[in-house]
Amino acid sequence: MLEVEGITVYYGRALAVDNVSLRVAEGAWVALLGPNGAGKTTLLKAILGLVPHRGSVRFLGEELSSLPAWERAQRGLGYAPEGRRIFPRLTVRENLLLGGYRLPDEEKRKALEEVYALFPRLAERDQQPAGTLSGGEQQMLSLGRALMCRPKLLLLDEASLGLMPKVVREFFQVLSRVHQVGLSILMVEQNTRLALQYAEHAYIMEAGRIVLAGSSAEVARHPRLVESYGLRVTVE
Amino acid sequence: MDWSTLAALTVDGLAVGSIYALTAFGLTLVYGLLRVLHVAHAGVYAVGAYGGWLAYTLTGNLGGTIVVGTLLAVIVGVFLEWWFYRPLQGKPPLVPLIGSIGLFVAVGDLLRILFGPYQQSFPVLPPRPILSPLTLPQVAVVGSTVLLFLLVYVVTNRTALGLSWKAIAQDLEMAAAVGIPLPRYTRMAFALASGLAGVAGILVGAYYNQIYPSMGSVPAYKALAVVVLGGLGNPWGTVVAGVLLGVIESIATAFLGNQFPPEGVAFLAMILVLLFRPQGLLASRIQG
Repeated sequence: MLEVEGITVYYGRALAVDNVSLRVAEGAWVALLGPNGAGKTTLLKAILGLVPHRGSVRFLGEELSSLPAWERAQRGLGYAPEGRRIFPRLTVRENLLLGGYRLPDEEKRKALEEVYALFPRLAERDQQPAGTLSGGEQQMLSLGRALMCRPKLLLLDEASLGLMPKVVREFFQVLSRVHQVGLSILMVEQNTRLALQYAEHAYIMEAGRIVLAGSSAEVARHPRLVESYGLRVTVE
Repeated sequence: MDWSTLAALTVDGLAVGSIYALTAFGLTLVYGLLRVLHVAHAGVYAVGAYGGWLAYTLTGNLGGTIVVGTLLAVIVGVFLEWWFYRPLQGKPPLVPLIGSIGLFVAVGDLLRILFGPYQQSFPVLPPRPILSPLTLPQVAVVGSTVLLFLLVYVVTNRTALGLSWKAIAQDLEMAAAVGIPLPRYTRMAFALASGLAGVAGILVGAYYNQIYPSMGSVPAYKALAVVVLGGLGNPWGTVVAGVLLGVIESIATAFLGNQFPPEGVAFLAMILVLLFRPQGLLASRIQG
């Protein structure tokens, strides 16, 4: 459903993403892994149209690369960014309603109910300014906001960063529930072990390039991963 | 000084402060969305005054004066956004700032070329007392400001438009990522800001019964002080700061006479706020 071809991004004169290609199949869960500064976040932002880039982004058969970010989002890309980036001075409800910006009012209400069913904690905090939520709650809100537009593909960036292990597990469980009902996922994740357990495919990025790609099981066994991360991941 | 003098000074200050608030509100709104100081906003204010004056001179009709002046300001403001600010987006903030100062000067000179360098009288609101001791211009200025801000309150707090503006002001990139078409909302912000500035221009012309090409100069820099006092990008802080400044200036002038120019009050206050309370008088409680 998502075919990225030859994406190149410069920040000033620095090359951040170097001719990267990547695919996410319909219904797939794909992890994008690698060390800090590898260009993973930049690649997601390029897909979303948040940074200028060269190369092609095809989504559901449509070329997006000449469209601005808001039009790409309206095609069905949900985004939960690094650092959550909720709107801090708006209420939980307002954050979620903005997530459903492209939906007609009736559907927006339904989507809000669905998100509240998924995260009862957010329903309890309905009228609270989002900036006053705990880190875990903010992460739920960030995911909830991304789900509000009924995306076909969810782009997640470092969702587990700074969360307690218990909250991280809960978060992955919610993700796998929405994945099972048909949502495709492309996730950037520093928790390599967890990401490889949940995702079906993985790409490893280093210094702006994809250096390794394959099924999660293959990637987990690959000597390069074992070498770089000093870990051996068991994937059933 | 007796109470009735103080009351009269306060009323005059409220009227002047209303005009500051109407002008500075738009400046804050635009700053919040684009992070650009729209200095040419004061040019839009002068355009509104001239539009109203032209309509009044030709027709003598009060309704027409307001409609023509406001509409002309909106058209010019929206045009400036499309023609000037949009192509400069993403440039360092100094670029649109310097350009905006140039635009402001150009608008004033254009008015001078079109209508001459003289003051024109604009007797649309004769200063007869109604609700004594209040005069018609005072009631008209304060009353229309209150009505307009009620309307603005509803738009910013009860509509999807206002919600999207807040989202853009808090996190532009995320607003785009949830699908909010930024140019449309920026254009609408310029329309509202310019409309309010246009009304302010008409009101100030009517209040003092005079308009002139460089009438935007004092508001141009004073509105900056008001915006800083209110906390950059905090629209309601700006409104409070504007009204407060008007009242303080009016009373201070009476007390200090000519030894201290009233224009100095705004900047003294701005310097103090920058030194001791850089987040503005009314900073929001939740920092993002």
